[in-house]
Amino acid sequence: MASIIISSDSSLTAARVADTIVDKAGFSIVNRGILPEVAERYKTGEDLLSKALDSPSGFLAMSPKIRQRYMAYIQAVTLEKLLPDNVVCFGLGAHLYAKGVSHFLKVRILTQPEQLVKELHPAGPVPAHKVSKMIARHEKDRTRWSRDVYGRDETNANLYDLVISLNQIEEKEAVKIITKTAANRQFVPMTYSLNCVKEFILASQVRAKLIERFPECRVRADGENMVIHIQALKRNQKKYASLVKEVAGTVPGVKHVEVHVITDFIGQAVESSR
Amino acid sequence: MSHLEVLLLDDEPIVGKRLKPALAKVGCEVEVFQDPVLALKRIDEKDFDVVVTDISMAEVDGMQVLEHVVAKNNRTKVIMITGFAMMSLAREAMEKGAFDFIAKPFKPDDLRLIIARAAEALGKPIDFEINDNG
Repeated sequence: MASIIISSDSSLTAARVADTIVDKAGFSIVNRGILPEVAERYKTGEDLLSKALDSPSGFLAMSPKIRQRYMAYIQAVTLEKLLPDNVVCFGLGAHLYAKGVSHFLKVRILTQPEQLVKELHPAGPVPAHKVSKMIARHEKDRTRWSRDVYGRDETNANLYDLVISLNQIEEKEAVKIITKTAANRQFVPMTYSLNCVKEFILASQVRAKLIERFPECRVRADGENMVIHIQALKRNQKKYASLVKEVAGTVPGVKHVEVHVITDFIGQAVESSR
Repeated sequence: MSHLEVLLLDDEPIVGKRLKPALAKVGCEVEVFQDPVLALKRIDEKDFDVVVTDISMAEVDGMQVLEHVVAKNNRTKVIMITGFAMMSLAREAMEKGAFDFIAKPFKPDDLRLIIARAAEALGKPIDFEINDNG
């Protein structure tokens, strides 16, 4: 059966819906419970991973590059957990990076405004005139976050197979719709879609190894072959290409590495102006 | 060991040439076609256990072959192969009743594994070790 990836404007709603799917339809769950494993594997702090997922973007916030690095670590482990089917996943940004896999049913759930306000402001009631402002700000923060890290707007309905508004549909009905859709034949895992996941896993593992040294790196897997793009100054290109090959080659499952080095024109200009 | 009746359809002759002996090794009796019109005619004459078909072909495409096979005998397992794999095509194939979908290029063992699964589903297991957890 399909795996279900849930995104919502409310993390509590996403968690509740996911838990109900697990209870009613026998799926297993992938959520932030994996963060200790991510932290251990990539020798980083769990708090930093949570911050990368939650804290809004902004002038004084975690820089997009640092956030992308932590998200690369989270992505590598999350995708591994998504390899078996019958999984429901939320809270790890998977709706933004698990792309093009036919057996991933991507769902966006829009929670009721009053529920969202309670979550955003647990301390107590919010004056009516501030409610819409608070929700708009929350949406703006999340949109900016997804654009900063993945260059995509997570509120865009085109990212999803199913968008459900809990303003009109009860939560238990939403769960029924999701599980019924997941049982449709077009979401059945097949050799092609499973191979897509395997390639994503391999590419993500390689990127996670490279991203600290090469934050701009782009990695694509074609079976066991990796195609990697990095940026470097002209004088470093040979050296970095062989370093990338060496590092990528240490990831289990990688057979061949092809490195394309793009000249870092900004760095080059800075260097020649010195 | 059971033997499976397989029809293999691909407009590139090299595919049939390469895959026919690979499938024969695991006990499949394979009829190879490059022309989808002739393949459909043969499907009308005979019930195959498995049909392996390319998707992008002139005149009749693989989706039409799939629909034809499913309408004729939904016990037949249809495996789609394509060099132009994408999510929407994969979903369409599965929705129409394909047994599996695989992107080219693939290794003969990849197809043998799918055929072995199809054979299991038909209750006619073949002698091929399934050790892939996917």
